[in-house]
Amino acid sequence: MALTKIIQPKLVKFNLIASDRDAVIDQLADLYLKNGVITDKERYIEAVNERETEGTTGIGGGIAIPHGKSEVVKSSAVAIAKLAKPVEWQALDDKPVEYVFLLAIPDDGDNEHLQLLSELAGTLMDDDVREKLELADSKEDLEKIFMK
Amino acid sequence: MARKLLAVTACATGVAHTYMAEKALIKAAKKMGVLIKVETQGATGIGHKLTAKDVQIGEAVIFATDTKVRDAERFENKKVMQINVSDPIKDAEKVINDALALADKK
Repeated sequence: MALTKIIQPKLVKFNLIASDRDAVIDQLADLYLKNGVITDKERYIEAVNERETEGTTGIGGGIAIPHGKSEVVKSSAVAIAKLAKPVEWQALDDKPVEYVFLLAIPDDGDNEHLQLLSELAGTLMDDDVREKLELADSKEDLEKIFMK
Repeated sequence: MARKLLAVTACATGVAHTYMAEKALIKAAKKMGVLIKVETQGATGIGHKLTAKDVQIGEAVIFATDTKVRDAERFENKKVMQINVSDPIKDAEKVINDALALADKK
């Protein structure tokens, strides 16, 4: 799967400790800033929150896929986190969220990378992928799900 | 004969929900033995565009969209069910059952 191209081990966190949704997004945005994916954390988070107000990104099954499209995003990316403790996300199935896929989308992103992010989003509907997420026991396990 | 449905999915950013709704509809339709063709209207363009022939064959059209459907005039005279893009992600089997019921309505 070409998804290997967008999964970056330095953007994957296992057992991330965060008390609520805002803390999860804040920590993953820090990771983006540190790795040069975004140039302005505050403005990126603003874009993520704006999207969140249009409707929840908690898609059920303990998964959330928040995303921020902004000019402060330098390259398309996905940060993946399994949380140490599930947090409330007003998800479609009302269940708390344990797996977060935070997307960074540039204003003028090239199609290839955007398509990869879309493909990744689509795979999250697979029962097979959801099962593997639940079975993932380490950061490497998480990465491997999408790097096959 | 298998039932035939059409769908268009689109979301505001055009990167994530459009494609999750697509996958959810295809997965549920397969499970239910219903044929479906889903057009994605996303940030990278239109995927699996519904042709005039598709439109002719489909019994009903599901608009799972949070934005305006592009080229909506194709579906004039068709039975259209307008829902949110998150509805199929939440419960795609219900969406398909609702669309079949709409198709059956005289």
